[in-house]
Amino acid sequence: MNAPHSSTHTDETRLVQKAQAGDSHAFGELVLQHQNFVYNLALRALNDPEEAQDTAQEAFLRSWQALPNFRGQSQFSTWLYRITMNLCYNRRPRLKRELAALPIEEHENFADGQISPPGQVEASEWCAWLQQEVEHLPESCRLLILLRYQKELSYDEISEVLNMPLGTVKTGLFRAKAALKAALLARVKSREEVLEWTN
Amino acid sequence: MDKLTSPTGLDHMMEETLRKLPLEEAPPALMQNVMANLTPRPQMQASPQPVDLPPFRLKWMDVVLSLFFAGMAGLVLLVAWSVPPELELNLTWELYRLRLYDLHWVMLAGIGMCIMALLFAAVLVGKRYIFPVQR
Repeated sequence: MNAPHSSTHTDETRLVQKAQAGDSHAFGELVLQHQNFVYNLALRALNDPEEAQDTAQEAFLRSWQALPNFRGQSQFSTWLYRITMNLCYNRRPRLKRELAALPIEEHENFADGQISPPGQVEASEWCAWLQQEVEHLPESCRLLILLRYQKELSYDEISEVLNMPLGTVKTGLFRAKAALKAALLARVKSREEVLEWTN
Repeated sequence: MDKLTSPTGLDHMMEETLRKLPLEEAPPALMQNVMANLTPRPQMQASPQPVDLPPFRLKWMDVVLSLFFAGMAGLVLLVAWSVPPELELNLTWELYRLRLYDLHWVMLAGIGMCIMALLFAAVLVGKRYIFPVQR
């Protein structure tokens, strides 16, 4: 199972080494591999396509200049995302404050095991609703979801990318998932009421 | 069709859905702009032009130092030539008696090092001023 991932990682390491030596074609490959996610990260953080494009471009150019100093202590992607996020923080200082201000208390009402989802709802419907609900979450929560579920970064890596304490990252993700569950259950309940009324 | 029948199923479904959230495509201009704006890194830039060497010019200190060292060398030679044969024998005997005769090798080594240093200095001066390397 790990072989493809390992092979990809080796390829990336090779590309990074070439780019560090000044090979712009190798760097172009890295840009090609990461441009979608870097752009989406900036888009989630800034909520403006033009600014996101500018920021992504600047992130790649800065990473090119800083590559000789990259020691491989973290993955290249984590390092690149951190550069992107730092540029986003420069453009939107309030973003860092929002992330830092995520509430510490846990949402016990939505803890695992206390939800009884009705069985009448099709999975595909849940997926569609969930995608809509994610769009209604605060930017900071959407950023966390993007990093955790779409790039499958660990809590430590997310903490490094966002330059945030580990506890804040965990709490933020817990809060985002709890908010999604609550929103979905509310929709299911209202749907059932409508069904009962029509029957 | 799948039904959501348990809280675990709900969590699983939620996480699976979050993993499959659609990503926006990066604008095509992004890659082009990045590649067009890549600039050479500082260490890759061409080396700076060589600085023009100052013209060869003797100063009064060069003359004084030359005279001093030449005088010292001449004094040593003069003293060595002016030592009477008896005194030379006595000195040699004293060196043997005090077991200092091996110092001859130290003196020879010192003279050799001085000659090497002078040759090295001559090569440097010649390379810099007499036969400068054209760049």
